[in-house]
Amino acid sequence: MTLDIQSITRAYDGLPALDDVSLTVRDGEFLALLGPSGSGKTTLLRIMAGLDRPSAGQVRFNGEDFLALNPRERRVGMVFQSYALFRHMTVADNIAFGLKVRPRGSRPCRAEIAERVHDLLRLIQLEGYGARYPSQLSGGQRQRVALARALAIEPRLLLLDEPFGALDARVRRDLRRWLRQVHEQTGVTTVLVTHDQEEALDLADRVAILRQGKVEQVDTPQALYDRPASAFVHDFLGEGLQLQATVARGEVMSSDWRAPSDAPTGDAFLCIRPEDLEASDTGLVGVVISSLRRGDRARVAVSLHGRRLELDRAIGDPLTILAPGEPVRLHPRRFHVLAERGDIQTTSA
Amino acid sequence: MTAETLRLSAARPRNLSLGRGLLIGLALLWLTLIVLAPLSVILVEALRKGLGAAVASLSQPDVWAAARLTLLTTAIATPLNAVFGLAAAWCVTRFDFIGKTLLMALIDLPLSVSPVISGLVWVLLFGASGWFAPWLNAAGLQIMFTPVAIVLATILVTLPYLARELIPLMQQQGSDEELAALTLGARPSAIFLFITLPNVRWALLYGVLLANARAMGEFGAVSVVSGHIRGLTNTLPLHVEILYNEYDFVGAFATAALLAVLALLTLVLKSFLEHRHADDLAARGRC
Repeated sequence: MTLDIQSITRAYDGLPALDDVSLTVRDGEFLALLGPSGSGKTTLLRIMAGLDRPSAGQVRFNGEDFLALNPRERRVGMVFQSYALFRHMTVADNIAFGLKVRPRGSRPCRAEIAERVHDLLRLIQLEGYGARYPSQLSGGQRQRVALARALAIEPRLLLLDEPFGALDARVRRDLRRWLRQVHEQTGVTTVLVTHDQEEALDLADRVAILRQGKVEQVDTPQALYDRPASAFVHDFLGEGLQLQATVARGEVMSSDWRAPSDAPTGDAFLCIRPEDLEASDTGLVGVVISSLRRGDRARVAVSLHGRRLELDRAIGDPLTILAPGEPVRLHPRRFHVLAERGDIQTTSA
Repeated sequence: MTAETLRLSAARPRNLSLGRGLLIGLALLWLTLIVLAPLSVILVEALRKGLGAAVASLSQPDVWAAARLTLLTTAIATPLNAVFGLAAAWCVTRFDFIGKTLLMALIDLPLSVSPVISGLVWVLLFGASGWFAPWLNAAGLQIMFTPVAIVLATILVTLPYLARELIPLMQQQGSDEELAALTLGARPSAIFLFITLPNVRWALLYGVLLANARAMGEFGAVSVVSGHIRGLTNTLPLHVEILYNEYDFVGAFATAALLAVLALLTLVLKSFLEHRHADDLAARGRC
């Protein structure tokens, strides 16, 4: 049950929303489409659901031409950011809708539908809420009902369009954990669209990073962290430094600092995560801006080559002894020399 | 009003509440003068020569024919407008197409031109020297000065009411629910019956009543195309005018009272629905 997307292009009024995108969603996996707004991730999801059509390219599901099927025939469960619950129906009727509208031959009988609704209400932990209307539920509860409604049709593919976008941070975190559990229970191949990197890295087996209508990199969260394909990916996945650098004669150089690198000669970005920096006699020259103790840890803000970076360290680390205003040299234990975008160039250290 | 605002208004200085009383009084006085007084004049004039005379003038066959034609016209025009209004609102709120702004302007047009013009256009099309006159003559068909022309003129005048009522609501609701139903396997007919229609049902009913009231009372456009043939092409408003011009005041006012009662019935139903509609929106508007 793999979904194969080949060279999809979609343009709106001449502006490309998706530009030659190819992607494979494997059977049973949880894939996140991650990118800033306008990167084309929602367009890609709508094409999977059949709510939008590509200008060129192919979508195959288990070898079957998905584009030849209309959304009604695809058996794809979709969850919208706006919940899109049927406001005039009870929670139970919402969940049962996809079963009730089936053609007479394949429609389950009344008792079967009731049982399925009951099972799903238990799955979303809303037993006893079946007779309520969506307006009587909280945002998190509504989104759970929307998920149950999508699961009721036993979808071959579950599509989630920023499902937690309208919820507050705490509810988001709880729902995220719960969604991962549901995925493990049901095993439905799932595609999640989000602009929240923490959400994507937490939930997904693999993450596809989109940028301006192109796929920048697809990999597991760990691999994205270990081997970012570009300075953009490095920047998008979390806090870090991307310093302008040049590579020449087997060395990477950023102002007064240099290290051996096998990256190709030319301009590049020196990309470093804060956790890879350690106080040392050699290294990048910086100044401590502030140092805040909180329990057994300290947050040390450092200005490095004109950039501000927050370092979270255990008390006792040499960095936590420094007072604001003191100079410091920071040595990157690990760094990446990357182009602004494009293929993996090199990983050093 | 919440408890908070109640407390605030109670704490208001005296002269402010005096000003409020004055304004309310002024508004009431104005309404009495402009709305209530003329309405009661109709009743008073109708009953001037006693209830018997009023009932007698209402039992004239011409009045019954006019009432029948009015109700028939409304019964044809309103459902057609409901269907067209729903289709137009659907088109405008669910699709982007070239000429959308023009379509919306056209829907509004009958509101902004005089009803007399809405009548005249039919004369220009179907009249003795109208565009379609040769074709109609050849086929031996007569449209002007028949109930058909009256229905056409009424449809044109009441055309905007439903679309105007539905478009803002459907715009606000968006199409996500319909798309969700589509991905759940619903056929277009099921989406319309189970999702679209229930979501706009109150606005639809409200619009139907507005269009209905307007259709019953329409004078200008109908007057142009009717031909004023008693018992055949006279609607209630036209009949009121004829009786009045013939100095049959009791008859005129009794007929006017009948028309007013029909309109008031619609109004009562409308207020009731407005109430329900507001509750409905308040209860379910959040999702």
